[in-house]
Amino acid sequence: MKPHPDLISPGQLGCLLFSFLSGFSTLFLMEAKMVKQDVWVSYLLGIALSGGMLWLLCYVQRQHPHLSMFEVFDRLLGRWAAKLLLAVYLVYILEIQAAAMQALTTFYNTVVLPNTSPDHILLLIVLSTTYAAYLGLGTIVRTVQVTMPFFIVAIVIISLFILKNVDSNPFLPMFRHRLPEMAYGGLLSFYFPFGKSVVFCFLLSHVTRKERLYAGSMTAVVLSGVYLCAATYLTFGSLGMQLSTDASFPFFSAIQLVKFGEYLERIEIMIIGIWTMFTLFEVIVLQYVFTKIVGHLFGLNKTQAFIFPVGLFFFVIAQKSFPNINDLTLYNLTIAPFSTLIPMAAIPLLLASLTYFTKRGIPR
Amino acid sequence: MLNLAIGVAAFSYGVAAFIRFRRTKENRDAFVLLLLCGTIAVYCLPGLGDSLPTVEGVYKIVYRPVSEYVQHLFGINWEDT
Repeated sequence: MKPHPDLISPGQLGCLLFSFLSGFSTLFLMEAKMVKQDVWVSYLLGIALSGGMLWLLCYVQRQHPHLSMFEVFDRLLGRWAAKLLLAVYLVYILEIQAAAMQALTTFYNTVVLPNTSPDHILLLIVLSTTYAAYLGLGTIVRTVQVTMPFFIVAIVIISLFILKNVDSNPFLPMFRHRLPEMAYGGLLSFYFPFGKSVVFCFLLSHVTRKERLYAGSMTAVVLSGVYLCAATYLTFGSLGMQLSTDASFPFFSAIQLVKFGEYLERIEIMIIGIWTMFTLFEVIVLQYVFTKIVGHLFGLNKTQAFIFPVGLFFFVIAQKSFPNINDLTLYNLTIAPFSTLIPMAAIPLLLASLTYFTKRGIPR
Repeated sequence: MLNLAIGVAAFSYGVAAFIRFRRTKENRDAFVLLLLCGTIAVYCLPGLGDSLPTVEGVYKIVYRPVSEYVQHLFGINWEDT
């Protein structure tokens, strides 16, 4: 029998989640600029918090194996409260897609295409993601599986070459920052990148073996953390602490130092090409999930027709948000860690509590 | 110019899909799609589009006091970073 095109295995879910988290994670290294050599503590906090939220969401999905997460919202909260909380996720997706698209546009405009209008780059991104989201979840996941080996091989090779420039352990001396600073760094890494994994709660019902849900997704979060930590280590080690803090895109500044002889000195261009594909997967997943939420929220029959206008909606919102990179940086550092707490932590906690009490038959 | 083209494209797509959905009696899909495409077209209007709210703009107003309080509580000083 031919499998359903939108059903995926736990391993495929893990691959998609890894690409979703890892694409943008090394772009700014925000928390690394803040807590410098103690950044690994912040990463651990971010991974632990995200792991906890993912566990809660997987628990909720396992208790309702035959329902989609939208239907779980309806069952646990009632129709109107469910609509309200799903609307919170719509706003959350609009917020992080605008930040992601502006980050990618700024990066391209600064490093690769300085003479191209940012709006044109935004439009190209939206057209690519619209086409990918239109093809469906099964196709997106298989594309990730095809591109992932290229990404991993390219990053491993470039990392080995950067490692040659690292003379001493840049994470030493340890614990030079106060606990509140490391905690704030943890909050930053929970917002970006690890906490974004909550969006995947809407894809959990597409996974075939529900007992492996948590293992598949948590492996991806941990591997994404390892990649981020390694990138930070190499950046600090090769550029030094001061230059890493001053650079807009520190990991790519470190990559630019790598030269393979005389002929391949612009190796970073190839890396940027492969990396761009990975960053697009984030926007693709957000567009796919956003369309599904809109479909459930308004009781629509044919959500396929909404993918294109949702892409254009992403375009206009991203275009009107974050007029320059300083706005984006300031927003990511001071506003987003708090504005995203409701969808990333409060709602998963609420759903898990309601599931637990409903299962135990304890009156709410 | 680009925004104008996108606004026209969104509006045209919305009207075409609205008519198609109405023919197949999927009224809810038709109206929601028209509303979404209309919103996009309004955002693309010169002048008016720039004054419409974004998530970033609203959240900056809502969450700034919370953020400033927590930064003060944690003793975060961005001058050091």
